[in-house]
Amino acid sequence: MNDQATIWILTVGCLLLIFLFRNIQQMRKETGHRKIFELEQDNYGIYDDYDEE
Amino acid sequence: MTTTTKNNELNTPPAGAAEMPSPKEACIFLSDYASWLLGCGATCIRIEKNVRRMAGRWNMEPEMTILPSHIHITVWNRDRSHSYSNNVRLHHTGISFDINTRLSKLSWAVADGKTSFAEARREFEEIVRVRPANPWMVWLLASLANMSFCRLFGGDFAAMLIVLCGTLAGYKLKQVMLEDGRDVRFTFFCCAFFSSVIGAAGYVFHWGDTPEIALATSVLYLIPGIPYINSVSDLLDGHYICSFSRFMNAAVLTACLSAGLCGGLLLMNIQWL
Repeated sequence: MNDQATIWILTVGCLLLIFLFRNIQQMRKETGHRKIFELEQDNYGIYDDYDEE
Repeated sequence: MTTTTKNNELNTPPAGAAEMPSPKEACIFLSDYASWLLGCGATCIRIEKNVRRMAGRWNMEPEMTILPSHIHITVWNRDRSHSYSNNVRLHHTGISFDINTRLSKLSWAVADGKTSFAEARREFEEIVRVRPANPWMVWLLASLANMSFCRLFGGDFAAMLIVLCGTLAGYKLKQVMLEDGRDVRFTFFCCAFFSSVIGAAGYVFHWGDTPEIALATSVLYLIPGIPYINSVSDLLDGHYICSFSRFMNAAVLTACLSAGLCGGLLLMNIQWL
């Protein structure tokens, strides 16, 4: 493999890494702390009912 | 004779005159309408015609100044006893033929008396609330279209495949960067750079017999064709400020695209001269 091919693979690999990190970032934004917080809020209600019973 | 008849028609209030808007209402609606039309990529002549068509139906006379990012409209009633002016910024909606066509249809519906002012306002709200086309579909179709360009310029199957991959990657990057609010010029530079590097695969790995066509057509999807066409249309119509503005915007994007392409060629050490 010559230098040209190596540079090509590195550049395309860099682009793929950008897409990969972007997707991970997107996924964390959608299912991150906010979701966990919402779940906690929902569960809080459930525990309240449980205590009353 | 025809002129007289037309003038008589214009002076006669049309049916349903009770639903006629005041100059203020008409002006606010028409300025919003024109700013959306300008934002979605309509030419100045289309904006003027559509606005005049609707204002004529409501028995009013509009005077408008279209600037690159603003529209100033004054609406007069027929006897010139009352007027209202409004100055609005254009809506940055991105070029959309769908909104453009639907807004034009709305203007015809108003002019033909099929839609009252209240209905027109309601319909306008619905049109501007329309979500843009599915980005995944646009991504795929733009890539296929660019691949077809490669074929049109005489590229072989390998070249077409390279262009398809280059466009898929470049267009996705464009969508991602614009979604993140990156500068559009920087976005064009990056997309052209990566697309040209992928387009150079024919040279690097000796795939196919037409690697030069694959490389040249790999960045064609970034050419701002509509601003160039609109610029010529505005120039012919005498809207020189808008024409120049559109042309400069398109030229700057083309320069960024060219810089990205040159960067890709330099990185891959491809001698193009």
